[in-house]
Amino acid sequence: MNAATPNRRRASYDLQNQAWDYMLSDEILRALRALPAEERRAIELAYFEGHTYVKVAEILDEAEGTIKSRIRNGMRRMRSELTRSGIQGADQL
Amino acid sequence: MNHDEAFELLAPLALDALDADVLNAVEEHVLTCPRCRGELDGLRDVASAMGNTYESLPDGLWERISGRLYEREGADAVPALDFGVIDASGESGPRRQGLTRRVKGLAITVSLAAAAAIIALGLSLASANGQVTQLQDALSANGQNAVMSALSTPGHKVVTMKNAEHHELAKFVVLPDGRGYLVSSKLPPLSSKNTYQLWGIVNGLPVSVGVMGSSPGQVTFTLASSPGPTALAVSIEPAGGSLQPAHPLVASGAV
Repeated sequence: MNAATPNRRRASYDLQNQAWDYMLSDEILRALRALPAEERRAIELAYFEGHTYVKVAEILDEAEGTIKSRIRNGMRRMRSELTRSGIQGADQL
Repeated sequence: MNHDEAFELLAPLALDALDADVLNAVEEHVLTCPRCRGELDGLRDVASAMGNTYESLPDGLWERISGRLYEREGADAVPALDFGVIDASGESGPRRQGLTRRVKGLAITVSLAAAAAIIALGLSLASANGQVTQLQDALSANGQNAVMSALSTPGHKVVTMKNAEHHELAKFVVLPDGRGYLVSSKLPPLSSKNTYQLWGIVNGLPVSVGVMGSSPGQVTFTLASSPGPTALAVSIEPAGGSLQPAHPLVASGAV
């Protein structure tokens, strides 16, 4: 084994993992984009932009209960979609 | 806080979107409520998954693929139970820029439908770069084609190996004919005096599948027993391996 072998294989290992991650990412984004717009927006503001659900309600000028429901329904919908696509929490298998 | 109030806040909790005072109250309730715990676990799976999304091609990925193309000359074939050295340090790929929150500890397993998408991955990446053939060549270089092929074979199973703390340490793919491959590994390198050994759990007892070396990288194996194992497990053994696990299993996963 020459000195370059570990690096080459390391690169291959990382590539494999990145490819795997990217494939999962694609499925997850697809599920997110499939949500009704109001549910997706609430989740995006809370998760990707880091707002509390109270702040999300303020931003969207909606009742807090409405935002709670949108986030909950959206996440449940995503979970169903991901499961249907074959992506599940490992503990469920 | 009563159950109904807490239950309504589980989704925002999973997204880390609660104020601190409410967060504490909900978490206190969850500790005593199995139903809420179960619901929260499911919602956190989704939140964790969202922490692993890319809006665009990850920084540097294409450069790495291109780099691999130049290294293909003289690439080694996949050895069978003679495992090469990869520094499987467990680094994860780059994550989406701009995430203000990220839930750690993603534990997802890909079964048939999603694994088939790994083939589509080549097209997806390449469509952004217009280099389908080069990408597929890169993904298949240095023995990875066997793993890619296994992941797209109907009836394959992905086995996620976790330690006692539920951290994922390795992922294998097993084909219906018993052939199996290591897909990824975060097993830390051992000294040359030790080796990782793979076991199949058959009728509740460990049966040696093979030694994996001190720093598992590319691993192929065959599960020849009938009935097949219900789980795979890994232990640390003296170099050369053991007939039975001499040390506690460090990771296991259901087949």
